[in-house]
Amino acid sequence: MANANGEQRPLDAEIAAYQKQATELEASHFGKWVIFKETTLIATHETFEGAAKDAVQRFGRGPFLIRQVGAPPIVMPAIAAYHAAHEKP
Amino acid sequence: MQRMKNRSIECGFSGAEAANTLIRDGPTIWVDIGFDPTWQPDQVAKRPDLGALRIRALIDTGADASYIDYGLAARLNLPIVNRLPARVLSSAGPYDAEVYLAQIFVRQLQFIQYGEFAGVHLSRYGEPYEVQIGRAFLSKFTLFYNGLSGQVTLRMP
Repeated sequence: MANANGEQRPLDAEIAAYQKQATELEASHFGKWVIFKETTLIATHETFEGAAKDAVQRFGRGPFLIRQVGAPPIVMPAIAAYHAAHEKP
Repeated sequence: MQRMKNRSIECGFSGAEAANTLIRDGPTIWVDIGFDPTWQPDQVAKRPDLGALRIRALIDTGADASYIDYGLAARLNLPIVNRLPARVLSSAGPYDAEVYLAQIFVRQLQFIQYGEFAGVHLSRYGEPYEVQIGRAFLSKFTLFYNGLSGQVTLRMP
């Protein structure tokens, strides 16, 4: 997924691959943590820590995606929400 | 995750104005944070080589996730491991927040673990801390909050 300027961003391939499989993953692995490398689902884990350990052992600094299946949007804390609204990365 | 049992740290305040200071500033702890790709959680004797030492972190029980200042994440060259829509209650609408992977070390508790930290701007706006620790991190601890005295204790169960 490119940004508003059409530029590729880190993890675009991994996030697109996740979204392609999201329905299936949510049916079978809801709440689990998955690792994607490029377009491939590498592993599923019970915890973020387990996924992080596995991903770093396999790929070092990455890039790789670690995402909880079915994770809702991040709810920004009040102070961060205020700042985020005024300063996007 | 590595930790030692029966340890606790005070993250509130003392003195005559402690209760008011706690209202104003909130409970904070000092943490080391960074990313060392050679470190593994089962290496009991080895500490990760972290890039930032004694960073002030706000304990925020109102947040489910944890957050890190974008500037600090950039200085530490933390890997981005996720990007999620961030719900923002303002006219600016939602945007995608980058999520960083880091190891966080609470020296006084001898506690180390991997954590995910959503990027936000904090220091740019003069916030006195660069990390906010949410409930996901706190799930490993008990937290005693005494609003009357201004004392807050974070304890290993």
